[in-house]
Amino acid sequence: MHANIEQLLKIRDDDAPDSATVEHVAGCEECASELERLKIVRARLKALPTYEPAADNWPTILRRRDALRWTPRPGWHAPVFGLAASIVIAVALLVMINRPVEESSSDEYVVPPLLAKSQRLEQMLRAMPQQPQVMRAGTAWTISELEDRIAIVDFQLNHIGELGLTPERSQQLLKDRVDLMNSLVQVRYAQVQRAEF
Amino acid sequence: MSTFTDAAVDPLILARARRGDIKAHEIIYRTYGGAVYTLALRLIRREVVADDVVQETFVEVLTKIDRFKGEGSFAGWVRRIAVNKCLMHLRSAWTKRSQSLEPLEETGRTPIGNGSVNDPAPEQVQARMDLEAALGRLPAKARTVVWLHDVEGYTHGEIGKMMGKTASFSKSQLARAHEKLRGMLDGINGTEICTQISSSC
Repeated sequence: MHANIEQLLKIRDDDAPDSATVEHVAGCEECASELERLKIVRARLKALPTYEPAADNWPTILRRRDALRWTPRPGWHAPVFGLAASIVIAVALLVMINRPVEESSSDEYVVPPLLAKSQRLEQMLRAMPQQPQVMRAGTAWTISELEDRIAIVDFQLNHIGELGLTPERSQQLLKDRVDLMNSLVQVRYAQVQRAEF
Repeated sequence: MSTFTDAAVDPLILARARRGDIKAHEIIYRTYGGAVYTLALRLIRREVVADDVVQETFVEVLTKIDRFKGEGSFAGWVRRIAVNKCLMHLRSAWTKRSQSLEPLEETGRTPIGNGSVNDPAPEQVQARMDLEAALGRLPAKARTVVWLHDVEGYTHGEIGKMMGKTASFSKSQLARAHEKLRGMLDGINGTEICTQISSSC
């Protein structure tokens, strides 16, 4: 009786083969040949080429890593993320840019592109299909975190005067918002792609 | 070849990475990114999903690196996270639905890296392509077991545990996979496909 493939694999992998089978295979040309073939297949599998991931993976990983690292401060109850935020931000920044006196004039050249980028990202987000009713817990958590963080940034931008934020701080908040929106678009994009299978 | 075992990160880099050093994080990614991507591509066969697995794996590695206590190799820890991400994907309802509709779907992927393109002889290149094609035609579970066992070196017990099954399940999947591989490779080579060895020995 010849060794079956499971027995031959046990011998190949030195996985407690029974001695009678080992003895048979040693003296049987067909079984020995089949064992050799299995060894060759394994060697060829190990020799298959490796591949490199997409070049833009690293920046995306950094954004997703940073988004996960953030934890909400106690007492913050994040409001619902709304599209009206961009309008409020636009108003807030308009006020900020138009401050006449001591603010750095460079702000005027930095802020408009950021605002435009933030609005572009919101448009991209709106253009995406609705979120599936069932989604992976990790994805849902990430999306929720990002939306919470955006809502908190929006809250601060909406209350620049009351919070006494400097133009520099306001600008930084807007930069943060763009980064967060970017991460959210990335996660949603990955989710949409996954859902397409 | 699996590059998990070929590359190691200096313990000093790991220490820096634990402190949140972004350069150290990038070194870790550059060291193991290819291995994670290749693993995901072999198991899942779709470039876009493999890239997603790479991202998810490294986000977890970098945010939980302080939990790596040095039990076993760091490469093994990264690989385990990557394998779990792949298995999560393969278990997902979307993937199952897709596979049930298109069991023999080709990936259509384009290799980005060149890997071991040192095979000079055309017949060796052809043999490699045949093996890749045959591997791709295996059912996902069988392909996963073959790769994890024969290439990554996991034991049947480890594979069974990771897949929520038993060691016996892994063993039988490996045997069936090799039967199928033999049939496909023999078919490709134009020889008769035999599933039974003659009893004239």
